[in-house]
Amino acid sequence: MENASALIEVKNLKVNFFLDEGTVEAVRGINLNIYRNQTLGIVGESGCGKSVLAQAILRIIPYPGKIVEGEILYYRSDDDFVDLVKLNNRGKEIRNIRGSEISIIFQEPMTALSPLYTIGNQIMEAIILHQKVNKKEARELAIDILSKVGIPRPDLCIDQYPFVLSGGLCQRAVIAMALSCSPNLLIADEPTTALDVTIQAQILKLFQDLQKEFNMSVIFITHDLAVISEMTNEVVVMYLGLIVEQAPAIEIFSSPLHPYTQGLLRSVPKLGIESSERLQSIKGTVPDPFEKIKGCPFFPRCPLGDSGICKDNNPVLNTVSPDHKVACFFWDKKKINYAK
Amino acid sequence: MIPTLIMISMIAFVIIQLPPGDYLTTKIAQLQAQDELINEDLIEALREQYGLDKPIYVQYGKWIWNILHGDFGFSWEWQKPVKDVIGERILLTAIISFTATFFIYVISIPVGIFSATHKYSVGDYIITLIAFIGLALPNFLLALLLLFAGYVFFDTSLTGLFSAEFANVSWSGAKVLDLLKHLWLPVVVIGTTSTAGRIRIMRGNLLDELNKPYVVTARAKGLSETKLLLKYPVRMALNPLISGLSVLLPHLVSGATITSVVLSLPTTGPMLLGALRSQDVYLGGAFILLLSTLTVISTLLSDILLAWADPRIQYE
Amino acid sequence: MQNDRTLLQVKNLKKYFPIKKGVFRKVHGYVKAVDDVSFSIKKGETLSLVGESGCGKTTIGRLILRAIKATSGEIIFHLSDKEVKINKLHESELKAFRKYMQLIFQDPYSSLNPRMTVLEIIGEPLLVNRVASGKVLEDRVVELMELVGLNSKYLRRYPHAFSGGQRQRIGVARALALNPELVIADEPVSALDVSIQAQILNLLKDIQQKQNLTYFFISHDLSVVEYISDTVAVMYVGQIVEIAKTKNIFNHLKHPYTEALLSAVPRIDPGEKRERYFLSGEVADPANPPDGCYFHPRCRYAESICKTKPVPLTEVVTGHFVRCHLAEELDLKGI
Repeated sequence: MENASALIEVKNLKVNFFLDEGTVEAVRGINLNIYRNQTLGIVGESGCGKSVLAQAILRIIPYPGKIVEGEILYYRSDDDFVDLVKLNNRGKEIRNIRGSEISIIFQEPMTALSPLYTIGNQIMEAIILHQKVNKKEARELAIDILSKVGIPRPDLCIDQYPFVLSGGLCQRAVIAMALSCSPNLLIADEPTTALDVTIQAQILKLFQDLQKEFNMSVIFITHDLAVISEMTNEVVVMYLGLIVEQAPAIEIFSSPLHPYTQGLLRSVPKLGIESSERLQSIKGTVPDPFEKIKGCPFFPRCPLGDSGICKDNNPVLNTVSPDHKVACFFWDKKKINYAK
Repeated sequence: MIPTLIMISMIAFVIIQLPPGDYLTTKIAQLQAQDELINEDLIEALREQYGLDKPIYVQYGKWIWNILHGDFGFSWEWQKPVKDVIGERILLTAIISFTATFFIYVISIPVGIFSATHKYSVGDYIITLIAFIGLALPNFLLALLLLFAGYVFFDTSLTGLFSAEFANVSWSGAKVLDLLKHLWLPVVVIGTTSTAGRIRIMRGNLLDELNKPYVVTARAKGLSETKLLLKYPVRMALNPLISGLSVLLPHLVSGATITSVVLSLPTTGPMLLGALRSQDVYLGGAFILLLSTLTVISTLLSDILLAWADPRIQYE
Repeated sequence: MQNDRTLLQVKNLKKYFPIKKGVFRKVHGYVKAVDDVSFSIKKGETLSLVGESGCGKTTIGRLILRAIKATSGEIIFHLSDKEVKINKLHESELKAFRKYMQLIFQDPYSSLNPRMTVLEIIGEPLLVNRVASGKVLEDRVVELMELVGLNSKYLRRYPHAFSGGQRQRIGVARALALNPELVIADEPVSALDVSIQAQILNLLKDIQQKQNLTYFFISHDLSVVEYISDTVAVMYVGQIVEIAKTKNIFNHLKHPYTEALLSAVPRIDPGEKRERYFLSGEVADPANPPDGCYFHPRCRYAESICKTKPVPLTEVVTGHFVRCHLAEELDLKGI
């Protein structure tokens, strides 16, 4: 990390969804730094709060979700920062940040673009909104960015409607839109989950190339451990609204410390394993979202769990080695050697 | 479209001819019962002209042939050419229907948008309540209530489309103004149910669209909420309303009949009813044909509008 | 365990969907969704179809179930006492026959009727086919629930009370209710979370061993396929390009497309940067496939012969079929 100054500092962030059936605590107190030019991977299963965290940064949490506590400090430079949580989520200030300084890409490329307007219309809209250019210049910028994301014949593609393009091309167009104003931070929320493997490989490669070219930080959110391992240098594992482990990618995959991370890694079928081997799954399921959790969120499914301490106490995220953090009471007692 | 119109004209003709006998025989029987003199010559001439003694397909052929030459036939009941009887009524019906359509959309779209974007707010509940009452209230009852209110509170008669002094004079600027003064009542009466329905449709459609990924993407782009709302989800939510345009017009025209009777409006509804009752073949036929044509044209228009509004349709 | 009886045989199966255009819906060509596909599955084994979206794998599943009718070709189902040609079955015979084949769906949320209890959902096939009713039915449902690892005290609960993984277990139990010979599973784990995926895959394997079930498995996920299958068929634009025993597909592969697929799969191998091979371009249009080998525009080994001459599926090594002109010459990288 040559440039270790933080771009985003998330401090004790809590997000609740107030539904008729009860309150869902989607994010339950997260502390996290995103550094300049860093690719941070966030991995977790559905309902772990990874997408809500991303939406919180852009202040686009859908109704009835609300940030109930915490700060999200966004540093334009080391001493010029703004707390995104304090901004009015419909106000001008956050709107000027969205799409220009921080942008986001979603899972489904086909539904992320409106079918009623051409690709060009939707990309140019972002450019005109944030840059002082006229329509003609915006069009040229749009064509330029489309060619940068590897769309063949961008001058023709710009006038196409999204529904005539394939999923892969659509996702490239969405990426082009997100990058059109050279953001400082790009949040990619499951950007390749809906794509075929060969197209996924193309898009992942594109991400790696673009990050170098655009000099930006990337938050890469996915449920796919393999994608994370290929894409990121720092990995955060989330479970039920909390970070349970954070470490450099190499370390988290070779010596995971949290029993949930270990369980996840063991339960993924990996190419090259004998089919006579059994997958080791994590027992049980993620609890009901309305349930109030008192102790360690993973306790009911944990092989190491000790009802004495884990049931009623929530372990904090401890730094156990210079760049490895884990939230578990037993992380060093029953270490499982995962390296294979 | 042309084949559709031909089919419609045939069906219209056959339906009108279905009851036994024709207008002339009914009329003659009536006159004979009253011992009145019958103008044999006139009757014979008419019988000849419209081929009433010929088979039905010949009658139909003659009818269509005459229409293509601008002659809609003769109204037995009114003893005038059909063209003279219905001309103004068709015009007034069209004016009321189009004004009502305009009224329906101008009210229902913004109200529906408000209702959806303020889901479960007090405003939404009030709109929902009014919309359901509007849906449940029959047109004629609403008309009666408004008439009653007019008499009791303002001491005016709200019936008709014109004040007494303009009813039988030819068109002028003053007459148009007078028409506009009277128009709002039938428009409100005829349009209320459809407006209420469309508010609910707009609300439902928009609620479906509001959380779609493309809306979130647009928001993440930094668009202001109003701009975002109008450009993305509203445009999408309008589609069913646009395609609903084609069914709206015939619905208004036929739905207006009872209202017209109650409000004694000089529109097509009451006259069509009368024509059908007395087997006044050419009057009824002309009405049905013209109104069907209107419907077919409005369907075509709404299709064109839809193709313009939603590019996906052009690509199919 | 494995007996050598062939259960399902598919021969030269084709399904062309006509493309209709204009006012008179004139046929302007065909989408060759399934184009001359042949394979067979042995009793008690698992055959997987892999390929990218639009390659025709789901269409084959629907053809076997006779949800749609094939354009040509044969689908022969070998029961212990008779042979049934599925494609020739009369509509009236079809219903009685369907009990031999059951389907597990991809989406555990939309595939269960929210207004039916678990008892009704799992019991429905038994009731419809008049196999059981009343107490007998309930006992059978309890037995099935225990088989798939659901607590039978939840017999009268509705699907919304269950998590995604549990719902998929309900789906599996429903598929097993009639003791089918063949279970067709169309992406049964792709909508599930990673930790739940493993549970369901293990469940499918366990049940197969217990009941000598035969699976026809449709998936885009190569690591899942490697784990569950005995035989793997790789599809590209409506055709099988390679079919062989699982081990051979993953270690001694012979088709460049299989190589590209395997190379594209992201792996957990921290620190180790392997050489990746990226497929350029997009999948060919099945309505207008290229001349010669359908894969040649994206193939890095393509030679002039590949551009003009169509390739037949040929047996390169015993039991290993490949659709590639260069299959004998290429030395491709497996996993």
